[in-house]
Formats: sequence, C-alpha cells, structure tokens
Amino acid sequence: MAAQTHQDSTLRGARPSIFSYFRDIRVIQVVLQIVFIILLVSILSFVFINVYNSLADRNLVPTFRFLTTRGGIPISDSPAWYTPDESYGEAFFVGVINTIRAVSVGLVGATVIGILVGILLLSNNWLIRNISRIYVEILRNTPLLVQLYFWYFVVFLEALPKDPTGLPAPGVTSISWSVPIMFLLIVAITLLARRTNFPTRMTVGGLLGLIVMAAVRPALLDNPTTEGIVTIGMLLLIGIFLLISFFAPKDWRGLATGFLAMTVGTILGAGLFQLFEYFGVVADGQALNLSVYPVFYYSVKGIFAPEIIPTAVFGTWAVFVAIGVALAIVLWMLAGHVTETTGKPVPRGTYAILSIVIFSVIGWGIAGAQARPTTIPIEGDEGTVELVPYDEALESGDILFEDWPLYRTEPVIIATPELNRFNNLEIGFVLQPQYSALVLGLIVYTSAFIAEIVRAGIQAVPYGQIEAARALGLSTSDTLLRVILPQALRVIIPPLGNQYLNLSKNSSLAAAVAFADTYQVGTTMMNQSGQSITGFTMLLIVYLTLSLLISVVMNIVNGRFQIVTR
Amino acid sequence: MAVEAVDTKKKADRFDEPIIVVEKINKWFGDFHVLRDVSLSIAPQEVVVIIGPSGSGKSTFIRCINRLEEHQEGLIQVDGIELSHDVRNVAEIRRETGMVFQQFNLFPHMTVQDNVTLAPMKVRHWSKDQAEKKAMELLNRVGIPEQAKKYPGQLSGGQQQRVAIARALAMEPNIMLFDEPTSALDPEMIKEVLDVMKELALSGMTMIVVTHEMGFAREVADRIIFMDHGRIVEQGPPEHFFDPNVEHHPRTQEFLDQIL
Ligand SMILES: Nc1ncnc2c1ncn2[C@@H]1O[C@H](COP(=O)(O)OP(=O)(O)OP(=O)(O)O)[C@@H](O)[C@H]1O
Ligand SMILES: [Mg+2]
Repeated sequence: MAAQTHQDSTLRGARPSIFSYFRDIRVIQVVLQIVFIILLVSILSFVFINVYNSLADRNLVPTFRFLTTRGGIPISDSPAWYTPDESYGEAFFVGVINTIRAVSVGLVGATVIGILVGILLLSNNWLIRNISRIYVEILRNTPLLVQLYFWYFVVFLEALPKDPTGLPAPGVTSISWSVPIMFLLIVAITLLARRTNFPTRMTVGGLLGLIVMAAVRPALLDNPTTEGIVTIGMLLLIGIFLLISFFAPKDWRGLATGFLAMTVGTILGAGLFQLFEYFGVVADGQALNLSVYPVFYYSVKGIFAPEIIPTAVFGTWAVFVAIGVALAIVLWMLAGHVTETTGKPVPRGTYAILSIVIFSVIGWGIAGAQARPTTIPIEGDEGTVELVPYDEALESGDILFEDWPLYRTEPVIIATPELNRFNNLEIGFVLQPQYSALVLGLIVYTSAFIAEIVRAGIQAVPYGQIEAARALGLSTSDTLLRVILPQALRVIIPPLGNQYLNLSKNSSLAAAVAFADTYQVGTTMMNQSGQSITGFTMLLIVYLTLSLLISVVMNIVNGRFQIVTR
Repeated sequence: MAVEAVDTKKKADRFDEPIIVVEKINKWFGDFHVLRDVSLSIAPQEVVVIIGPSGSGKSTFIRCINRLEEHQEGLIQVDGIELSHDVRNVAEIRRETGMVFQQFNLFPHMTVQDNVTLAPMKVRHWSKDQAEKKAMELLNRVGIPEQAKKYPGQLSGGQQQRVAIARALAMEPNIMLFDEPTSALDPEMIKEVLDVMKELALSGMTMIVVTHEMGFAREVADRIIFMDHGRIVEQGPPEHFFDPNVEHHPRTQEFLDQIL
C-alpha cells in the first residue's frame, strides 16, 4: 500500500535529482553550523591577533605575573594584615573578600526585610498596607545609584554626629516600680486571656494598655514639663481606643477588658507604691537603679559595635557545642520517626534547643576549668622580661589587648567598644560608613523587589487551599507550613533567584560610595599596572563564579518545590 | 410564608437528638443581608439537599456550619458543640465535619495519598502506618486505589473529586458537607462522583448537599430545602417537591420550572 502511494505518479512535490540532497533539511542544518563555526573562529582570531600585536608593540602582553608585585593600593576596610605594600594579587583578594562580605550580608538582609514587607503588603490594616506599599514604590522606582548616594552622603556622612555617640547613653537609669507591675500585669492578662473566648483580642488590649502606660509613665513620674503633652496624648489614645471598642462588634469587648486591666492596674499599683514610699515601707520610689554603659557608638567614622573574640579555650567549647548540635540533629530525626510511627506529637524543637543549650553550658564550664598560664611574661623597664601574675598584669594594664584572649577563662568574650583619647575605636568591631552605606543601600533597594515577589507568591496560592486546610481542621501553623508555604515558594523562588543575582552584580556600584570591592580594587589595579585584559578577565571570573554559585543553589532549591502535573 | 410539608424527616423519629441545630442565624456581607433568620435541625444519618437559585446563600449557609464563614446572629450547634468564638470549639467542629468543594481544592504539591493522610496525622495524631492504611481503604472505597502515588494534577476531574471525598472521610467525620461537588465536572464524570456520594448516604452518613443534580436529590435525599434570598422558602421530602400536583411557593415553582 505504502509503496504504491509512493510511486503514485499523480503525487505532487519536488522530484528527486542531484540537488535534492542539498534540500534535505538535515544536511542544511549541518552545513549552516559548519559555516557559522568557521566564521566565528576567523573573526575571533582576527580580533585576537590584532589585539595581541598592538599590545606586544607597547610591551603590554597579558600576563598574570604582575599580580605578585607591590600594588600600593590603600584599602581602609581590610583585614589587619593588609597594607598598601602588599601585592596586586593580595589587594584584589581583599577586594573579593569585601564583595563577599557585602553580598552575603546583603542577601540575608534583603530576604528578611523583603519577606516582612511582602507580608505587610497583604495586611488587613489599611495603614500598614499602604505604608508598605509606599516603601516599595519609592524604592523600586528610584535608581539604586541615587539611593546609595543618599545613604552614604546624606545619612552616614551628614546625619550622623562627628564624634562617637554612645548608645544607650551612659549614666544611671532608674526603673520605677511601675515597670515590674506592668510586666506582671501583662503576664497575668495573657494567661487569663487564654481562658476566655477572645484570647488574642484580650492580649492585644493588654499590649495596647502597656504601650500607653509605658509611654506615659516617665512623663507622669519624672518630667513635669512634658506631663501635659503626654497626658493629652494618652487621653487621645484612650479616646481612639474607646471609639474602636464602641463601634466594633460586641465580641471586641475582650480588647477593652485587656486594655482597662492593664492601664487601671498599673495606675493603682504605682499609686500603692507611692503610698508605701510615703509611709516609709520602701526606701525609694524606684525599683532599680542601673548604671548604663554604651554598647554601640555611632559617628561619621562608622558604627562601633561589640566584638566577639574567641579565647584560647574556645576550641574546647566549640567541640561541646558541636556535640550538642549533632545530638540535636539526631534527636530531631528520632522525634520525627517517633511521630511518624506512633502519631504522637513530640516537641522536637524544644528537645533540639535543649540539647544545644545544655551542651553549650557544660562545655562553657569545662573549657573555663582548663589549665591556663597563671603568669604572663611582661617586658620590664630595662628590657628584662619578668613573669607577672595574670590578674595583676590585667589590673595594671600591662597586658596588650591582643594577648588578652590567651588568658581568659571564658571561651568567647564580648568586648564592648572602647574609645581612645582621639575618639578612635580601641576595642570593638567597626562597620565603616562606606560598607554600611553599600550594604544598607543594597538591602533596602532589593527588599522592595523581594517584597513584591513574596506578596505575589502568597497571593498565587488560591484561597480554596486555605479553606480546604481549615475544613480539615489543620492548625494555623500546619496550614502555613504544609499548605501555603510550599505552594508560595514554588512561585517565589525563581524570581527571588533573579533578585539575588541582581544584588550580587549591583554590589559593583560600591565604587560610588568609595568602598573597596572587587570592581573598585580591580579597576585601580588595571589603571596602575596597565594590565586591563588580565584585570577584566579576573573581574569576569569573580562575578561569573558568584553568579553561578547563586544560580546553582537557587536551582537546587527550586527543584525541590516543583509540582508534578500532567 | 414558608410552605411546610406534612411528612418530613423519615429518619428523624428514630433519633430524638438532632446532630445539627441552626437557630435563626443572620449574616451580612457588609450591607448585604445574605442569610435571614435561617433555622434548621438535622437528624443523625439524614441526607439534606439544598437547592435554590444562584446567589441565594446556599454556599454561605453550609460554610457557616464549619465556620468558613462567621454568622453574626443566631445559634449553630454541631454534635452538641456550640459554634462560638472559642477556637477550641471551632477546631472540634471542624474535626467532626468533612467538606467537599466545587473546585476540589486538593493540595497540588502532595501525592493523592499524602493529601488523604495529612489531616489524620497532623490533627488526629495517627501514626503514618495507620493513616496510610486508612487512606488505601478509602481510596478503594471511592474506586481509585491505583492512583495513590500520583499527584492531583495527573488525575481527571472526577478522580480528583473522589480523592477530595476520601480526604474528607479520612478524618472520620460524623457529618459531610458538599458544596456543588459535581458542578465543575464534565457530564461523563458526574456519575462516578454521585455514585460515591450515594454509597456514602446509604452507609448512614449525615450529609448536607448543595447541588443542582435533581436525580440525585430525588433518589437519595431525605429532605430537600429550597432557599431564596437568604431564606428557607420551602422544605419537604423529594416526593413533595417532585409531585406535580402539590402547590408550591411561587418562587419554588418558578425555580422548579426552570430546572426540571
Ligand atoms: N465574601 C463575600 N463577600 C461579599 N459578598 C459575598 C461573599 N460571598 C458571597 N457573597 C454574596 O452572597 C450571596 C450569596 O452567595 P452564595 O455563594 O452563598 O450563593 P449560592 O447560593 O451558593 O450561589 P451559587 O449557586 O452561585 O453558588 C451572593 O450574592 C454573593 O455575591
Ligand atoms: Mg455556591
């Protein structure tokens, strides 16, 4: 049959001939590819030979040899070992480290803020929803470069004080009796609320009351000049609150109960202690007097934060922590298995946390009990070296800060920043304004895009899914974790990966705020050495590697959330 | 106003305690009054079919029973539990009532088996083995045991709806709510779903079914309720509704003329 049709002379179409071979679509494709490759290779070799010859004429043949020569590139934000005397290669390496520092913190920060704002964009509250909307619209509709300039020149160089300012401000802070009273009240309200029909509303009412009382308390008790203003503010708040509770449906009375319990309770309690003080039952109107030391300093030189320094016994402690973490993982999986086989819910999170905490505490004690040198060699006045007891040396200030960690019993010390006479940071961790501006700029800018992605992702889950979960009796957290998130993430992850790539590439705008990242160091290196081809190749490799790394990770994550359909 | 039929509740006299009691509930969407003084009591094992024109509040009414919608006035009692703002009561009632939706609402990221086992494991704290055994039993009952490892997206509409029924039954509810379970299905698939529902009714499940399938109503229902404009206009056994000699409320008559 088939053969017959084939030979049918009435069949229309091309006749076989010598040329029909070249009309075969398979042959055409192969020939076209060969032609394309030949063209490409000739163009590239032409360009390459020309560039090579012209560079050779000027003695600038691309090489990596210059990387080991002295670079003379000053980098303010660099590890302690780095000086301008280091080689080009080391300078470039510092640049890469700086890029990684900025990108990694930027990715985490942008994700956290992005998710938060994304959820707020869906809030039922008109005000919250619209404030987040404005945040997103302003940030994603202005150029990143403009925003970086704003953060760097306006915020970090103009708005911050010239001299380091401590946070919290040093001095003595008094805590009045109303603070513990308010604390006890909110605990009591929360516990009581769980026994009523409106636990959330009553707790929220209590929290509202807490805010009002905490804002009003200092003015009423301490400062007579602001008393009036704050009282009016408080009355306004109560008024607004009463309006809400009056016009809202009747089950909102839980809110009123919580609020009134909090405010009236605090006023009565504080009044009681005033009486006690009057009759001399308590000595002072204050519950507690605290000396406050600054934990942070901020100035145009940057933000000074406490530094976490591992000591000589850190290793021992780390081993214990590692054991705790390993045990936590085992417990977690075991608990999962138990739940699966018996159906009994096991508080696996609590067990895991307990395991880590217990081992950390035990390890802390054991590490501290380890033998350590009790004396320390100190250079005397005549150049002699004598052994001085450690405690004495510490008191007399003979120990250099760098030696410190060697003699401490704690595995890690958290050193609060200290300033020297010139207001420079002596101890502590510094976030330089260039770095801060870049990272903050990247985080804030990218978070706006991520927020939109998160919002769209959550909205992409049909409401019917949530209703089905509810109708089955699933709890809110199971609904979120098992039903909404897996489906939302499927929509969120691909565009999120794009934003991560954008952030990592946008980090090369660091030059705008004078931060020595890969791009900035790389271009300086190219200008000084003239090795632009090598330099560009290195830049290309760094950014390509970074992007590929992010892509690979995101692809793996994405693969886990795909939904099988027909 | 409402035409009450003489002979209602075939089964009701066998059970004195109703399993669902609804007393004068009212509900508004903003200014729109969706449910007006709806009262109803349903006996255990009774099959109630709700019919009525689009927008008459049928869905809203059955969704009030498991608190997917909140009623603003009146009382709802399910299996002796009052539907109040107490979250424990709401959770308890949801455990006792299964619901099947027009759009199936299966979880697309889980296999059929996981769809069915999720709630028993998370809510009833069954072991995985126990939940899976139950799931296979139910998938057998609805006639698709071989689809257990597939994803909802790989099934036909009728198969998906049967999975949804199995998923609801896995919680071992005393009451099943159906909101137009066959309206999104192609005609050839409607029968397979209705057959499962018939079998369920015969097994003694208390059921409230919103549907336009008059054949099903005539054959399976103990009572048919006609709703219009948020009110129960008329109710009675199928014989009452489908008897051409009975004089109906004019709204009922108009509706019946349209669909019959
Ligand atoms: N969430 C809502 N917000 C505002 N109005 C709503 C909402 N849900 C339903 N309605 C309105 O309430 C009325 C009753 O809706 P319902 O879905 O209960 O009707 P129905 O009888 O199930 O109709 P159908 O046969 O079309 O499913 C309709 O007019 C509808 O527009
Ligand atoms: Mg409906």
